[in-house]
Amino acid sequence: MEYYVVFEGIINQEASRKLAEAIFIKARDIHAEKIVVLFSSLGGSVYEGFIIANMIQNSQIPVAMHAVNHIDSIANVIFLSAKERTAESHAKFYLHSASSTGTFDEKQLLEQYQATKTNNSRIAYFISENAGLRLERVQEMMKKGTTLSVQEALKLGIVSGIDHVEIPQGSPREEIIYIN
Amino acid sequence: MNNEQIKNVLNDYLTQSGATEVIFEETENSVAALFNSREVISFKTNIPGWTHSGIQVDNTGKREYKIELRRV
Repeated sequence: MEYYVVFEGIINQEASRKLAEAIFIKARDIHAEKIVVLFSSLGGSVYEGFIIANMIQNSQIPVAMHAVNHIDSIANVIFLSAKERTAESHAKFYLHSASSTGTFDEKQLLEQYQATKTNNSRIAYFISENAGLRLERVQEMMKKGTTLSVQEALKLGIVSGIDHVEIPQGSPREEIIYIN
Repeated sequence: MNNEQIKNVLNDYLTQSGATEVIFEETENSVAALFNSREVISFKTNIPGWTHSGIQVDNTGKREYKIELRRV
C-alpha cells in the first residue's frame, strides 16, 4: 500500500517536524509499503533541509519523490535524498548558492561568510553525490543560479522519469501545505 | 488492448508532444517508443491492463527519450 504526502511550502522547523511525523510515524502505523511525496518548495533552512534529507535516506519505508511545482534551493537536497525521483512535466528546479541575512559586526560577518561557504560546499557535495553529477559542474550551476526545466533535469539525472501522478481515490494521504 | 493499439495510442501522444524520429521496440508484453523531442510532456493516458514507465532518457543512445508500456 502506498502512502501519499503532499508537501508544499518553505523548509523550516514546523515543516520538517510534520514531514518526520508523516514518514516515521503515520506511514508506519498504517503499514505502508512505500511513501510517495508530491513535493514542491521554494527552499528555506539548510539545517532543516538536511534533517529531512537524512530522514528520507534512512527511512525504513522506501520514499519516492515526485516534483510537482518548484524545487528550489535546499529543496533540491531533499528531492535528491530519494532513490526514486520523478517529476511532472511542468515542474522546475533552481540551484543557487546559500545566503545569510541579518545584521553582523565584523567578527560575525566573517563567521557568516565561513558558514555560507561551508553550506555551499555541503549542498554541492550532496547534489553531486546523489545526482551523479561532476562536483565542478554543480558548483558552477549554484554559483550562477541555474533554473532547470524537468527535461534538463532528466538529462542530468536529477530526475529519472517524467510522469503525471494523481493520488488514487481512497489512498491514505497527508497534506503539509503552507501557502503564503 | 493489443500491441498495435498501444502503438496507436503512443503515436497520438508523441504527435501531441512534437516527437520526431520515433521507433518502436516490442515484445509479447511490452511496447517501447524511442524518440527525439525538443520538449517533453507527460503521458497521461490510462490504459487498463497496462502500466507505463514515464518518459526516461534512452540509455541505448538510439534516441533521446523512451517510454515503455508493459502489460500488467
